[in-house]
Amino acid sequence: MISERSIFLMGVVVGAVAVYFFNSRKKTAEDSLTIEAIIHELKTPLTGLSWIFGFLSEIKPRDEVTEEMIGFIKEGRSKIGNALDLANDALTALNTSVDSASYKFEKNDLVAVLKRVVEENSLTAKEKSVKISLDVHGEVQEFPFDLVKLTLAIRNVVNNAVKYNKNGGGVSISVHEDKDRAVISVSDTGIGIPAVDLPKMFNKFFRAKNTEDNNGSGLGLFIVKNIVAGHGGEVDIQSKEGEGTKVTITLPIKHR
Amino acid sequence: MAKKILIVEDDKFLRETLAKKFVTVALEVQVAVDGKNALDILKSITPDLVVLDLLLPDIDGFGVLTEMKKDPKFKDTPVIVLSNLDKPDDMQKAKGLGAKDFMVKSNFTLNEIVGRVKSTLGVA
Repeated sequence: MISERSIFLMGVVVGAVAVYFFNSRKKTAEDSLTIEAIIHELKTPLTGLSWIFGFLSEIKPRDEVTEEMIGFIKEGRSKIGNALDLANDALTALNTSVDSASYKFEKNDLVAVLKRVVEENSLTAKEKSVKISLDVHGEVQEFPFDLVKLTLAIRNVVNNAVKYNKNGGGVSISVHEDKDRAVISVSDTGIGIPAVDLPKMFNKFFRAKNTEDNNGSGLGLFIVKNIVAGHGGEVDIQSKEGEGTKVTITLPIKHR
Repeated sequence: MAKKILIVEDDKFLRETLAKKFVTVALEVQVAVDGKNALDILKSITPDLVVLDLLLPDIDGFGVLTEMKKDPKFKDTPVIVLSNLDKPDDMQKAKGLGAKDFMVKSNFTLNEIVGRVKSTLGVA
């Protein structure tokens, strides 16, 4: 028979474990993504569109088409792209938060994921004459991870390595097992990240100063950080502006 | 002499569009990409008016306002806040720190923004 006292003790133990688990992840303002923050970010491209259409709506039927008008139309298209990227990435970020119950851990092949992401990037890389290589060091065993989410995280890192690369540059991806961990590293010879921006790269909506000419939601690495944390792993970024960036993802190989 | 304004805005498109628009109405324009950049620029120029965004990297618009109003040189420089923050608390805070006006960016056209700047400067 289970006594009232033993039920009470069990309750205390469960409570203590729950408190420990909660406290073990230090939450900061940068960890959570709120609907309010998303809407605020969306207002920036929408403001741009509002100003663009305000300007275009003043055009009369026989007005000559000017360079300025064409410029505004092109910017308008780019702003729509910004807004859509933000909306899509914000939804992804909400669905991949560490607290999300949607993680599905099944035994999968990490090397196959890396090969697939390399393949997906091959066309864009070819257009920029960027060479991508994948080195598998030793045997990497299958282990449980969320296939869709981890593929997304790796895709974000490799996409960045190609997108922010220079023409004729390179992306070197490597994977190996280190004791009970799988270590993936993605190094590029791209534009790099200014030292002052490096500590903020995983913050939501943060974009490095040298990326103003490229569209982006500022959520890509925030999503990566959350997905890796959702797997109990770690992600590290090292970079030198003008020389390149190296992102290292370490994942525990454990049976859940 | 042309009136000089400083635009503090981190979004490239909004910043450049505002700058171009103000130049067309014969204003002299200087731009800053964030709060720190704005405070650096203010060491070397004295604008007749500042158009200030609030959510900025490093030092935000509230920080810029605070620093400006501490400096006797800028005590009377009108600052028009142009932000997408639209909560009454933010508006009150900005006004409390010395902002002359508060415009919600997405609620106004470029011409309306230019009109407000010109009337604050007292230019036709």
